[in-house]
Amino acid sequence: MSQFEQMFKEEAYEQLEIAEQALLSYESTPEKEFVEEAFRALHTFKGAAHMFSFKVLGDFAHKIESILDGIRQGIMMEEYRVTDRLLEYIDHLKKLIVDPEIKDKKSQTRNEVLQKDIDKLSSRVSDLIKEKGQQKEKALLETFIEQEDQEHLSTYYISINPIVEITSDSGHPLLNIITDLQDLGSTRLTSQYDQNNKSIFIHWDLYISCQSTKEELESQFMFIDDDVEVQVHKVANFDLFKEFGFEDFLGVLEKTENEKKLEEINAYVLSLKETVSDENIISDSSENNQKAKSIRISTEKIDVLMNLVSELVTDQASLKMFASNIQDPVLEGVSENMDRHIRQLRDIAFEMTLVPIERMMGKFRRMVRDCSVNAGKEVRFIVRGENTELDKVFIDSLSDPIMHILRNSIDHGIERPEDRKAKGKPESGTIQLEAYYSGANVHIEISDDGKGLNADIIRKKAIEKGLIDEEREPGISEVYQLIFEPGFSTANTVSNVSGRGVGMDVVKKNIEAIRGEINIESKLNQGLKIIIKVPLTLSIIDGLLIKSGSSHFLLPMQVINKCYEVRNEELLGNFNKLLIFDEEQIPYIHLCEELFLSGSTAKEYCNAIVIQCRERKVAILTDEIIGEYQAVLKPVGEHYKNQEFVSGATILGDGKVALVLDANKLVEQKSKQTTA
Amino acid sequence: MLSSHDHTILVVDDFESIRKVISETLNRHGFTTVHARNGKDALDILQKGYHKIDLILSDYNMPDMSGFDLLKEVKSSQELKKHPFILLTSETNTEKKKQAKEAGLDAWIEKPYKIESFISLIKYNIDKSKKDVSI
Repeated sequence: MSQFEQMFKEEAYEQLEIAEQALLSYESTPEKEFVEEAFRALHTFKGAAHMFSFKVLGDFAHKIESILDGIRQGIMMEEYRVTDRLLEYIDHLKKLIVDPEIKDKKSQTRNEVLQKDIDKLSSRVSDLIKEKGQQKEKALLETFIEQEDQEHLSTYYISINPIVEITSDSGHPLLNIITDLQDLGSTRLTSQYDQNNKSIFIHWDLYISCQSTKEELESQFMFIDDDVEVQVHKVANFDLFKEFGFEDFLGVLEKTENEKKLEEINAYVLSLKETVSDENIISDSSENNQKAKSIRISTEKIDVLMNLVSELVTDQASLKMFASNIQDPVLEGVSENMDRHIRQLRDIAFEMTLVPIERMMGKFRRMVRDCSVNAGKEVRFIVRGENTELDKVFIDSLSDPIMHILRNSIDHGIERPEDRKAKGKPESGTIQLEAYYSGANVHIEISDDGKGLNADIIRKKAIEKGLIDEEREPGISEVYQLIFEPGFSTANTVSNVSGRGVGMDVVKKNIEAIRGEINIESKLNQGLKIIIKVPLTLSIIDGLLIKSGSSHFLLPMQVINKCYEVRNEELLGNFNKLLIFDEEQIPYIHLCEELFLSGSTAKEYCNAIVIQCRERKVAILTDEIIGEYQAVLKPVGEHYKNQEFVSGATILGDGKVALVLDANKLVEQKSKQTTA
Repeated sequence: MLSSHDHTILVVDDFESIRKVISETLNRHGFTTVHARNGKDALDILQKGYHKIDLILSDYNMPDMSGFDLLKEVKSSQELKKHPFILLTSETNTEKKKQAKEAGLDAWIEKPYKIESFISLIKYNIDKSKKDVSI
């Protein structure tokens, strides 16, 4: 298909050009024919996009169509600058053609904004059309309204009787229609066969809850109405499949005569309505929409769930091992099934708690853009490690502090372009947000290349405010910590974004509330770096499982640079503990020696795993590399509190414990040793 | 059921890319394809060699002559009306669907479609038209 994609892109682009030209013509001479033209072009575009499975493109075009439909019907006349907006949407589609999966971060943000915008506008159009009672284009808009309103489901009972002989291998279109209908929503299908010939169908019952109208469902069978007799009954204006016990009811219904089924269902729905109104809940579908799709669960419960799931994973691994030893095919089958289900359970449980920090980035990008424009500064905002996942709770409570830090950077950190030029820096400043795992923590570093903190000014200010004694000479990091004091602000003027002195102390408080830490590094005129460390008690990491002696260790995958084999004799007499890999000197840590591990077998080779944290590299020497491993991180107990190597632990399939090495600390420590 | 060999399908769409994608799918399933850019061209092809075409597969909205107009032309012509006619479209308008049905349309496929359903519907309709002829 991809060979034609380029061709599609060109042709689709042409249609957008046509629509664009038509809209421009409409703007100068508001004649309906131009709107029609734009409508047609977008419609063609939509169809083509769907053919190539570019759903986002097709759906977006569909919404533009809905708005155009409003104009066509003379509703959107008063809308302020509606053509401007339509042109904007078309521009967006043009960009999307080049990048239909929206990989580019910028267009992702743009897409989110525009999607919301167009949703608003097009739903207003459909409301207005409804108001005017113009039902002409009802079908077109209905699909749209329902798309917007995900919960707008109705349940239908479709009874199908073949008139001609239809067998399971006849390739009759009815069979495909039934299959396709089942994709529309929750369904249940029962087929009845001829008593004498089991391959001949005599009846079908299809129960389906979907967003389609009765008419639309009926029209599915329109072209085979000579062959079958179909009756579509709307039995409820909500999703019966969500009702507790409905599927059981359908099971009972199977034994009922075909003619009486509808009656039975209606009675069942009626009984539901009664029970519902007994509980004082309104059963009307429009009210039903208000039902929240999500519920709140206390984090403690999720903690417990996560722990249980990880225990289950461990148990399952033992069971699997046991089953394969016993070699009983039945047991192995059961174990395999359990394995799959537990894996699914684990994934779901994890997904419940973790969200990538990318989630916050949209508003950060927007904020940085808007603030820097307001402040008359040029700022480049770079995000690294946006896939780093964090507990949802943490994301929520980190968002405001980070927002504040970013504002500070723009307002106080980054200089005006002319000042930067004078200092010999590039005119546009850079703010970087980097997130990465560090053992059982996630670090978020926000750095800028602005003017940095001036320790002298902070000290003076602190003395003025009586925060420190005049005689005391605090160390540089202590001085930096002063900016977290309540009521401290070094800005000479107060702007509308920051500098009111209510900032950094609140930031610190918020971060400490989630057991996090915040630190500052700065160099005058070179920039400022704020490091936020948040624990990650519940998380999975992808790691490399290694074995040294008889102990297992896990290294977080993202810090691993390369693996090498090293002859053990190279290490003998290597007193400065440096190895050369790819013409680079790299300090190494020999796990067995360093941790006094026993059980190491004397082999000719050992493995060196080069880990890299920011710019620095360290090689870890180990006896054996076992492979990739997805681990549930668990905090280590009190005993390990004061060590520098281990940041967490995980339980392996066979019940053994593997310690998770804190790569950052290892690198930091090692490079300190070597520079000292 | 008839095999798909030696059956020729006239694919009508104003997008070259779509014509090619559809043809590729059809060719893979053993059909021969002939292309037309719009209703007018399609009609031209049909009038010149209608006996060679076994099924017409057309888009709905096209410049010059739409799929619906082509359908009306085909179904009102004595020579051509035996040809199974399928509209392949992103229209979801039930009213249009009804009109097409009244005009004699044999099947309506909505984009995006599933390949299996698509192919089986085409086979079914060719199959059916051949049977009708033999009766």
